[in-house]
Amino acid sequence: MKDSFNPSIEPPKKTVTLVSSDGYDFEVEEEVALESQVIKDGFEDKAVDDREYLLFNVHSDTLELIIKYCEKHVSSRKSISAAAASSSSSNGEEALKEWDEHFISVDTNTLYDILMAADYLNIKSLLDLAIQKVADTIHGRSPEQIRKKFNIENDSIIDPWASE
Amino acid sequence: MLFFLISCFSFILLSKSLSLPRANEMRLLSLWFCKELPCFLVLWLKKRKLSGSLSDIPAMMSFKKRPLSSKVENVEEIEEMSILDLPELTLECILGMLPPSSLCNMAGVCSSLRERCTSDHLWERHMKEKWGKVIGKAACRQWQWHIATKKDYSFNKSTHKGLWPLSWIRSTLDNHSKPMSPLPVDSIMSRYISFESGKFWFPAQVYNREHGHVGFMLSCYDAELCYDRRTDTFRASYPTMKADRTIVTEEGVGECGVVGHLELCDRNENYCQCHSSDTVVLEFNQYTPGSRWRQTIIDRKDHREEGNEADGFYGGIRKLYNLEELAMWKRLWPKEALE
Repeated sequence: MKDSFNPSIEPPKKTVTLVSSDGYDFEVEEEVALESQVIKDGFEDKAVDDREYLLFNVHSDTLELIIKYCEKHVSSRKSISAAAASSSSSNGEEALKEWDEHFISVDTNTLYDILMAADYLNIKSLLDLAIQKVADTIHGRSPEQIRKKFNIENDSIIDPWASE
Repeated sequence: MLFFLISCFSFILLSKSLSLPRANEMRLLSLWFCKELPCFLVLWLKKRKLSGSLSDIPAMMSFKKRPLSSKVENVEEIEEMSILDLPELTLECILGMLPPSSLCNMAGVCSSLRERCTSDHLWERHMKEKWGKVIGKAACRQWQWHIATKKDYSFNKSTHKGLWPLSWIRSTLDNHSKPMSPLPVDSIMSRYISFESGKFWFPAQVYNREHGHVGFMLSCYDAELCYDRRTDTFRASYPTMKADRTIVTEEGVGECGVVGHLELCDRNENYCQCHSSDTVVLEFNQYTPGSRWRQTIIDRKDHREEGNEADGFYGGIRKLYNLEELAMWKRLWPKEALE
């Protein structure tokens, strides 16, 4: 028990390498990468010295964000359960929610990228977060405003009465 | 294999739209395609901007070496993704989270979204949540009849407008954009909107609790209702102004004990034949025994609404199907027996 408080005695953290579609290497801690169900599923089959994942569909800009999200969630989970174990009061859940909200407040194209990546990597909590963000963004907007916001072309047959 | 076929396909497209690259470039391109095809092909097909980016391709090939300095230069230029390009399931999840008003607005965005946003499976939940407890069998029948008559009309402009929730889409009206094709009258969305907009009158029972009026403490009417969205209330129209004293029974619980025994019955549950008699005694437990409103007799087989202003009207028996409904009625029940 005592050892766990001394970082020098801890074994070096295992890492995996994620390679973005544009060829960048990202070395991340194993537990962070395992936030992705897809990586988790493939993890057991991989040889220990070949923990490298080529993510053809995820650009480095997006991958950076995804890793940031996963790291935050892994560390938050740890501190929340630590607080629960020592029965000290903590607003960890609330703080994480706030962090999520801030994290997902991005422009539409970035939001699309996150959605695509979260879907591809199967990170459920992130996918849910992004889906909720899109739904919230749609709410209260007129069709024309939705078209503008989400890059949708109006292909409908124009009503002859309309002045458009 | 599929990958290879797609690669070939893209080359055909390439050679059609551009002057054919030289052979050695072709080889390099194919290498690059193997790595970059999935996202590139989608983007290329969408924007058809390849002619502009062809010159960049040799530079992009060096990705095999995982460069740290050179990035895709034209990504931002190409990237114009639309919500419709999201994976099917993701888009469905988004639409599933939208409230009715947003679904209506989304349906006005483009033909593809219109098709999705008007589909029954998205509206079923909203219909149930908002109208499930209000709409009974009689209202359903009325609706069926309503759409049967609507279907007979040839679709003209006025019917389209009537069915589309234009009242909700104020801004749409302001922008002069109009819906493109009629909403099927038998769709759940159409039903939801008809109820919601208050255009559709439907039959329902209305209970009424009148304070300070002993005889009509709790009464129940058959009425036609329509909804007023602004105030979240209903308007009721009564064919005849009559108040039926309320009798409620609940199957299997019998707590109300409102279906009484016949006078000749000795009330021994082993010998009681009252349930098989054509004559049914109704006992109103909210009145003290002896009160003129306490008891009435109706014919099980041939009963029509009867009664008079003084003694009240007896329209029928409302059967409550679950404890929740029973609890709701009990809340309305007077606390003490009435004279």
